[in-house]
Formats: sequence, C-alpha cells, structure tokens
Amino acid sequence: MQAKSLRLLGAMSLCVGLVACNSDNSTYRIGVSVTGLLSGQSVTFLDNGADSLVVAGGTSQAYFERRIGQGGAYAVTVGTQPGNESCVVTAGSGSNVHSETVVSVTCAPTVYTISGTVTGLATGQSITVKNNDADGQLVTAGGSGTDAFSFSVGVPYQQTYAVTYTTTTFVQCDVTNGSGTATANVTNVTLACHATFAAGVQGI
Amino acid sequence: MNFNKLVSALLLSGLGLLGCSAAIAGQLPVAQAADACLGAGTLIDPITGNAPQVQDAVGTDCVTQPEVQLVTFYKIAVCTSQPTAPTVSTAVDLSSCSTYMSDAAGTTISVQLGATAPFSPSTVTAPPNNTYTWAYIELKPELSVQKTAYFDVAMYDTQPSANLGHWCWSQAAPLGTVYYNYSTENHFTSAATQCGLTPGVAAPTTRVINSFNGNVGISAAIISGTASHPINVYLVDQNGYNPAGASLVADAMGPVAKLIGILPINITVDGSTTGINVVYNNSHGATVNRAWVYPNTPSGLPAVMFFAPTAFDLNLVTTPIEPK
Repeated sequence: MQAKSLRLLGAMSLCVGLVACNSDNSTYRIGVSVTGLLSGQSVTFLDNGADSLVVAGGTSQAYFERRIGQGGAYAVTVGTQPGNESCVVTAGSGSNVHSETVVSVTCAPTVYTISGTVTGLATGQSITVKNNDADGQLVTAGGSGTDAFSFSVGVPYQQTYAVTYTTTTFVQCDVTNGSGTATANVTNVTLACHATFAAGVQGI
Repeated sequence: MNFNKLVSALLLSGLGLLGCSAAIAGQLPVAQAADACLGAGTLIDPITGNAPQVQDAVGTDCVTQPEVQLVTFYKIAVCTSQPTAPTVSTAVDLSSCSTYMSDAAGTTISVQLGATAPFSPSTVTAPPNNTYTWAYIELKPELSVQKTAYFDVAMYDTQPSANLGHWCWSQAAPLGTVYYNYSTENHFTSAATQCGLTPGVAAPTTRVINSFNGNVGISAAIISGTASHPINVYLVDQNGYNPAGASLVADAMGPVAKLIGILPINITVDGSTTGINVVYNNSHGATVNRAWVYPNTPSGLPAVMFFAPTAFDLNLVTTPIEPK
C-alpha cells in the first residue's frame, strides 16, 4: 500500500513537471549595441515606450532591465538624444522573441555649418575660401561691400575647422574667427580684404 | 600757323617718351623750369625744353604746368610682344597682353604734380607675373587742361573783342573746345582764351583729337614709330578699327572713338609688385599756343590762341612692396 502510494505521487510529480515544461515561461534580454557615442555623452533608449536604458559614451553594449517573454515583442527607440550627437536605431523592433536580441545603434556627431562674410573686395574681384584646405567656395564681390559664404561640407561636433583663402588677384585678407572646434554653427568668420595691387597715375 | 604740324610732332615725340624712364628723368630739369612761357620772348622747345627753340612760321609755343590736367583712360594692358596694329577691319590684337586697367565708361584722372591718383580698384586687375615689353594704352581722344598764366608783356586773347592784358586763362567748352580737325582757324580758336589786366576764372580747355592731320583727313590716323622710337599711335572707331577712309567731320568726333598708343616698356611683375603706375609728366602738361598774327589782333603783337594739353609724356612703372 505504501509503495503504491509513492508510485502514484511520483507519477503526479512527473506530470506537474511536464506541464511546467510545456508552458515555457522563459524570458529574454533586449539590448543595444552602440557605436559612435562620444565619451562624456549619453543616450537614453526606450523599449516599448518604457524601461529607460541610459547608455554612456564608451559603453558598447547594454540591456534593458525588463526582459521579454517567449513570443513577446520589443520596440527600441531613442528616448533622449545625446547633446551634439544623433543616434539612429537600426531594425529596432521585432516580435515573437525567442532569444536574446541586441539591436544596433549608430551615433554620429552633429554636423555644424561654417559660414561668414568677406569684405573689402572690389566689385568682381574674387577669392576662394577653404575649410581645412578643402571645400573651396568662390566668393565674388557683388558690389555691396560685404559678401557671404558658407561651406557646403559641415564640421562634426568637436572637430576643428580652419578657414583659409586663396586668390589669383593681388588681395590680402585678415581672417577673424577662422579656426576653432565646432560646438555649434559658426557664422562669424570674417575676411577683411584689401587690394595689394593698385594702379594709378602719378604726376611728375 | 602750322598748327597741324605742331600737333603731330607733339603726339609722336611725346609718345616716344612713354617707354623710356631716362627720357622722363631727363625732362625733370625742364619741369623745374616750368612756366618758362612767361614773356613773349621766353621760348623753349615744347617737347624737350632745350635749345634750339622750336618756332613755327607764325608763332611759337611753350610748355607749362597746368592747374588741371584731365586724361580719360579706358584700358591699359601690358604685353609680352608687340600688339598688332588695327586695320580697317580688325582691332588691335591683344592676345599677348594682360589688361590691368579697364573701364568701359572711362576713368578720368586729374593729373597732379607730385601726387598719384589711383584708379578705382574695381577697374584694376593685377597682371600675371611676367616681364612685359610693350604697353597698350587706350584713351579718350579728348584731353583737357586748365591754366592761368601771367606774361611779361600784355597778350591778346581770342575773344572777338581782342582783350589785352598780362593775365590769360583757359576757357571751357564749348568755346574752349579745340578740334584737331576744324572748319576754320578762326572757329577753333574763337574765345578759347581770355586775357585781361587781372586774372579771371579759368576752366579746362578740351583738345579733341578727331584727326591727326587737321582738316586733311583721317587717313593720317596712324603715326608709325621709328627704329629709335618704335611708337605707334592710332585713332580707332568704336570697333577698334582704323577709320581711315571714313568721312571726316570737322569740329566733331566723326568716326573717331578712341586714341590708342602702343609703346615699348620694360617692366617685370613679380611677387614683390604691388602695382603699376602711369607716370605722367604734369610739369609739361600744357602748351601755350601763341601767335603773332591773328585776325583779331594787330599784326605782329602776341596773342594767346589757346592752352592745350601737350603730348602724352608718360611711362609705366611698377611699384614694389614697401619695406616694413
């Protein structure tokens, strides 16, 4: 009788165990793999609109605290962009999760524009302004006395810029605010030019 | 008087000085002796200022420094070889030239002794570094001078009333407009000057070079240089063509639009060059055209017919970077 009871209990235990295996309540981590995030910067991610995950620069991979159950869905988005950078999530959402999932995030510095003005050129006279010895922009004086320029290629956050000029005419320019580290749009580069070649009539 | 002959001589000889700094320097003593026109008997060569004096058949002329000397420049170019001459169907070939001053509307310069009048920077472009042996200068064929002169003897003027006085002064257009090609001598000199006991208000007299040869015709529009002075001077029309053969209009520009000089120079533009100046002899800027026989004056008594610009006594020089 006692042996029979033990066999029955063992059978019931096995049955419970099998039931548990069949319902599969596994959970999985959802993570982000971040590249390009500068040191000192941080970005906040959300999964399904919640569960904030703050990732600091220098961290390559991190996981949300809340795990996703078997067959669940995730949607990773950027909650708060880092200052002076922009992060983009690639393939950030999915469903029917059945394993740990890590989405890719690429961060890139904000690109700032460099622009300014040229004064002192005679009408029709021109110079070519360059940034970091590239992206030459031809500035031809229109007659107003002040001529604007803007480089077509911006400068990423914390990268340096250096405005120089070349000319085929006899002109010299004094460059002000022409170099530095980009932390915002630069609009105050000025080139004050003056002719170094003159012609006239000398009376003797 | 042989007015036309004198004018041609002035043009040729004066332009002969264009490319020669030594010639300019050689004239400086004369410049210091400006106003040698004082006195009816004080004569100097209108070109060189040296003896023997130049005197035509009926009068004599001298040079002096004007109070105002106006020259209008359209274009100045420096060339590595001699530009070809204009023809009746082609303009001067400037293919070997670099224009460093250009103003289609013309820039009128008031030449002042000891001063440099700049061209507007908008009209100036530095030529490429090179050595240039020829210059091309394009001028308005109208030159003006203003002068008040005092003579040691009383002079008659060209007014109908034939005023007499030690003071004479230039008159403005239209009466003060003196054409190379004129209808009658009386016309072109009528009231171009005024004389009196005290100085009056002078104004620029304008010399209109509508011909190189007076009332003969425009066919003499080319003055060829010589071996020692390889200067070529041209009157051209609006197209830059030699208007030879065109109908010449007295007392008017007719087909003539510009006066061109092509002259030898020797300048080098390099990294130290900061400019090119036209050095213009203002000391010799005006000629006093005098006559001893004039319809309105008693025969044999001196008259001042007009004050006029003299030859283009100029040169091109480069200016270096000033030492700091």
